[in-house]
Amino acid sequence: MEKAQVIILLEKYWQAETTIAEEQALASYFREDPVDPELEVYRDVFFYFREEAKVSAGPGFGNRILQRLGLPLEEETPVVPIFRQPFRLGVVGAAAAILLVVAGLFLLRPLGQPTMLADNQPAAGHRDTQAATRTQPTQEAHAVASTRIADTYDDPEQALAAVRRALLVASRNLNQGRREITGTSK
Amino acid sequence: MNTCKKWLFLLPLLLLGAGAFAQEDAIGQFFGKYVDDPRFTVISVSPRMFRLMSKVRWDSVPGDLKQTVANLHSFRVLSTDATPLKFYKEALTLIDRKQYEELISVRSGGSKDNVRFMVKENGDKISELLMIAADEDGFTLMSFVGDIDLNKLSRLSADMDIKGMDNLKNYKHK
Repeated sequence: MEKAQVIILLEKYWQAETTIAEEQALASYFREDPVDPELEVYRDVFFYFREEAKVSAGPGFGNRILQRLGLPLEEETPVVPIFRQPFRLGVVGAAAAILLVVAGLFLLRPLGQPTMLADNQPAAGHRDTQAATRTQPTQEAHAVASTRIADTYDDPEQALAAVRRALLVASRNLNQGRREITGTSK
Repeated sequence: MNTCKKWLFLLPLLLLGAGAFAQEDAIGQFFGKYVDDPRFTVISVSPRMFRLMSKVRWDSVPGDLKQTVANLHSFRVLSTDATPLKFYKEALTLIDRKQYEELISVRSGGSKDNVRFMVKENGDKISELLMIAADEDGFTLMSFVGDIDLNKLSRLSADMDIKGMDNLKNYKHK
């Protein structure tokens, strides 16, 4: 832009007769080097307007105005997420933690755990039990437990004989232990 | 990223839950560990089998035995003749002393002959009786679950000829 043109526009500017486009043209002239030494003094004027345009209202400005006017305050939007989010995350986290512990209890149940669930399987030899549970993947954990304590005997009579024998062993050891404690043995 | 960290933090909780459970059932753990081990003889009688037993002819079964069996819920045995004292020690370390109270402990022959009885109590009733026995010939871990009356159990062998029963310390499966 020519110096003469700038001077004309400046005259118009002081008269407040410039259009927005003209004002922008002036601003861009003073923003760019080189500025004619005679016009140098005006540079600060446009620089000042540019800098001041960047300033915006600080936090809580709206409320300060409302307070002055004696009107009800608006909700402080920047404060809300800081206050609420950790609370909600805490609840979700706690729920997740409980879920995980419960899941841990059931899914990672030790294999040798005796369980009543074995009882609910179809009545037949333990081979049948295994087959039945294989077709029910939702009962996988139960299946593991039931196969682990699968019956050694299919015949109750044999099972009774084994239990009877074991009871005798336990009984005898128990009595021997008691005798040794009371000092009547040997 | 932040959520990722949170989940990482929660992961140990999962293991904690499982860990607590594992600790609770040390005997189950021992059974689970050795149930497929070829060195061990395993006998397991499930609650279902105990119910089926009621259909067996009981004529030849003495009264005390009948009542004792009727109150049992499940029964398991693990026995082996391989490194018995090692397994004996392992079994003892796996037992949760908070749950199982030691009833009788006999040690003779310079720690080579051991029998221990432990019980899990439910109120004033015994809900599980554990017998752990080991000598140089074998190791036996026996678990009776049910309503156990020690006096009845004691009577089962009281009238028997002691001499003929010497080999019965450990349960030997035929």
